[in-house]
Amino acid sequence: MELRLESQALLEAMHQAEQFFQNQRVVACMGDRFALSCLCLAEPIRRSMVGAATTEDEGLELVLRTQPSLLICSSDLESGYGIDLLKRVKAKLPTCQLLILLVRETKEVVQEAMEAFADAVIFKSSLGTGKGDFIQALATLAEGGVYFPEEIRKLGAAQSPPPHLPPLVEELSDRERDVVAGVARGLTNQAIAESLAISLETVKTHVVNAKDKLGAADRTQLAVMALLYGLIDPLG
Amino acid sequence: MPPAYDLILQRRGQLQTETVQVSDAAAAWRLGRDRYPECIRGVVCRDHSSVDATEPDSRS
Repeated sequence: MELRLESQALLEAMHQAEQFFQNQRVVACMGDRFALSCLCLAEPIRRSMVGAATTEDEGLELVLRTQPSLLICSSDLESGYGIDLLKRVKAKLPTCQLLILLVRETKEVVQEAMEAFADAVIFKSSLGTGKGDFIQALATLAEGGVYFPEEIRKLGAAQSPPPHLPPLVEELSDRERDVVAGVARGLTNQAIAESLAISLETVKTHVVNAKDKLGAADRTQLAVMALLYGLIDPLG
Repeated sequence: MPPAYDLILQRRGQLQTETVQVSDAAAAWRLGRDRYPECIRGVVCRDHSSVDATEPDSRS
């Protein structure tokens, strides 16, 4: 893989990262000392770093001592396990958002990370590919949401509709799903319109149509029905 | 008065909702994650001024 250092996308990503990190207190915990050092020294994040460690126990101790707003952790650590660290941090400091980079791309590991209440789950292999997972994860965390990219959701969160639900008369379009996912993330219609770069009127139309298709009486029912049918994953 | 949000919670395999009043969606997610870290599945804005008037709210 060639990291395209001069690309516009990378420059934009750096700018976005800078915006996100300016109000954060970050602890990083990674087994790879070189990657950890590079992360801590990277310009957009450097001033937000309040601690860095390479083992699970050190990571927990740092979190308790520095009370960060965000923990960036890799699943592989010099000792211990990144996902176990997430569980321990969530139990001790539930306000801390958790972003984990997974090395192994298996269903079991993905589900384990989700069950550990990670707020963002990214495969290490997606970094530097231009897919933008890391930046999208930061943007989602800034909104208080939870970020699981498509490949993660496929592995860990795929759900079939429960057997007692009748089959849908008409499927939701991709755009309707996007809008409903926004509804279930707590966004207003205006915020959904801005996030999808469409008009407010279009959002309203999608909401009304989606409600009709799912037989929902209001926005909350719409979100609940979409979740039950496995049509959306607002945590993603 | 701050806007109302419905937290969608998964408990014993069922989806349930609980209404909270907080400043914004991020605060609703934070509250949901803090209070129900194992259950929170979604957050819905119920503030009438923020949604379409043609979207009836069955519980209001």
